[in-house]
Amino acid sequence: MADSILIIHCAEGAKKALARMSEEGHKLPPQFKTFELPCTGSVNEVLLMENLQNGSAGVVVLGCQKENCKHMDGNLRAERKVARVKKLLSEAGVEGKFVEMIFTAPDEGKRLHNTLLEFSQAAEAKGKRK
Amino acid sequence: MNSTRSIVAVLCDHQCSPNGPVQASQLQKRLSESTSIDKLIVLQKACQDQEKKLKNIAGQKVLFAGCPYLEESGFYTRAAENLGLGPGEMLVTDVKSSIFDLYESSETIEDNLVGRLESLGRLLADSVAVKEPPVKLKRNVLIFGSGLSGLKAALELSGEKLSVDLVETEDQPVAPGCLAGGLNAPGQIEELTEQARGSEHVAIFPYRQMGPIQTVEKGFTVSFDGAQQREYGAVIYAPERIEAPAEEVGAWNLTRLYSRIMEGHSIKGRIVFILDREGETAPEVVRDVLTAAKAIKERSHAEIWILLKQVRVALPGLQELYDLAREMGIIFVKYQALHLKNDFGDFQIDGQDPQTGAAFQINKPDRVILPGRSGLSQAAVQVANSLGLRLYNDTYTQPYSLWRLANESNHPGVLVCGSARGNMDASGVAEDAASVVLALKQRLRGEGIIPVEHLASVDKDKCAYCLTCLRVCPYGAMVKNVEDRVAQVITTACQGCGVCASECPAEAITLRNLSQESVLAGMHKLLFSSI
Repeated sequence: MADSILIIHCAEGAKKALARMSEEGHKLPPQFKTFELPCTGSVNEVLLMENLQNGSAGVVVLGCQKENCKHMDGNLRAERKVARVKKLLSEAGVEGKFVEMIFTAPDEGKRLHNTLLEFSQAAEAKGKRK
Repeated sequence: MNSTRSIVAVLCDHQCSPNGPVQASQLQKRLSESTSIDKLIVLQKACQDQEKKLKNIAGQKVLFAGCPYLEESGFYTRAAENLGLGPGEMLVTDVKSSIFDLYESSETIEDNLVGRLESLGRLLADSVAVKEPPVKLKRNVLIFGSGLSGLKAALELSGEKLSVDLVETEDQPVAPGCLAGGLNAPGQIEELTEQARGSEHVAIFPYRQMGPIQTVEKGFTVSFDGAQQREYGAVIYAPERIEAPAEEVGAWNLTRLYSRIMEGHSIKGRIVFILDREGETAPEVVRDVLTAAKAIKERSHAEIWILLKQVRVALPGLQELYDLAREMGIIFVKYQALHLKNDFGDFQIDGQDPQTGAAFQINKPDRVILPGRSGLSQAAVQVANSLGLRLYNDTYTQPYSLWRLANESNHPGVLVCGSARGNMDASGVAEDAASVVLALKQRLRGEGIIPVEHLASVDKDKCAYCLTCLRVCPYGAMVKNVEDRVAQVITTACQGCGVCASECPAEAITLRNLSQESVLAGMHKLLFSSI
């Protein structure tokens, strides 16, 4: 649980991207857990903080591409909130935890896989340095 | 899920952690007053061989709270195995890993922890999703409006052996049939009316006999001509769209032109349509104009001018109509400023080209067509008000830009169909009538209608009337309730994206089947499953 990474994704483009990723045969390491919300716009700071507090190493918010959100600007709202949480974390001096926002198109299975793997590798490296 | 089982909170008295500010004894005192937790057990150092003690609580729902070390040592997994707990019967929370511990006093942490435990306890108690109870309704349907949509819906419903009462509006549009049905589907209205009159399940009443609509417990009642009240399980609101008369003397509006074409008059000479005169003409009206122009060209050798400020192709099929009109030799002229001289029907048009600035003139056109503002008749507005339907500019039951809304209105049992939802052509109306019939059948079967899975709702006591939700809602589904000073959800417009719930500063908005607590608990379960 300590090094688990939570992916909060929307039920539209990001869900399709994840499905596409597994269809293409790219498997995520077991520490990745996915959680679905109707839109990334419904993410708030409490959700992100609570997850970090509950022991996950990081939270990745996975939304549709910019200007492609079904609910108009839900992904941009999520981006703002992620930025706010990032700022809070850096102000509090918290190390070894990260929050990130990724925008993905439904057909970018491989790119998404690579990006997510980079995250987990970076988190692992941080953990070792500690 | 068996809800009769009691909820046991197990708290580890984690004195072993170096700066543990939360005293288990204090927590115990406060949690014993909590209503959502039935029993509280405090373990001294749960990490050290306490599973025997837990065997007493096998078969209950358990809520664990302990230091992060408990997870690392695998205590929860062992406990879940020993007690035979499934994923929905056990929740875990961490009392010590708050990243804000440094900044908060121990009382705040204690408050937080008690709050969290209580909310998780409530979640364990009833994690069953909300379902609307099935409704048994009268198998009678009232349809207001005898246009294309109303007639189509009535005939389809009578095929389902539902008895239908159709209300004919008195102030019908001048054209035989509504604007949508008139030229798009010639003769269809008459054919359908005949069929409806012949059907034994359909009764037709004129609007002037109709009394006020009253809402009763399971439907609606109306009396016709002072006779006995008739009961209905549902009302379909399908009024026809009517057009205001042309403002200039001697000019025609579209309805008049349509009726002339339908009556078989041939329209000859120089005919000028003027669009965008007062603001932008809606693209649907442009489609009506193009359809009419095409119909005139097909029937006679008229010279047709269409004056407009901007070409709009926003509606599906409009581009094809434009291309077809160009092929047929209809002249499109863009204008910047337009002056209409009217000497009792003798027109002279002075215009200016927007690009070159050159002036142009059209002398003595034989006919000037000025499309009027289209909307609902007074009777239709009255009925909408008595049904509790919200109208936008007395025209549509939905905001102009929203096309994907359901037929079901905010008011249970009232369905909206056809032109009242927005401007449609004949095929659009037919589709709409079919979807209304489907929705109604579903409703009468007792399945109830659930517009979206995660419908937003506002807690009136918490709402601060700051109107943040009105600003952030992408669908305009939030409105002001001025009397109660709270925000209100238009349930048919809500798409359940949850933006309002996450932005609401007072946390007054919750989503159905997706409260903040359940989301947090779901994430909890997810993280817990990895141990």
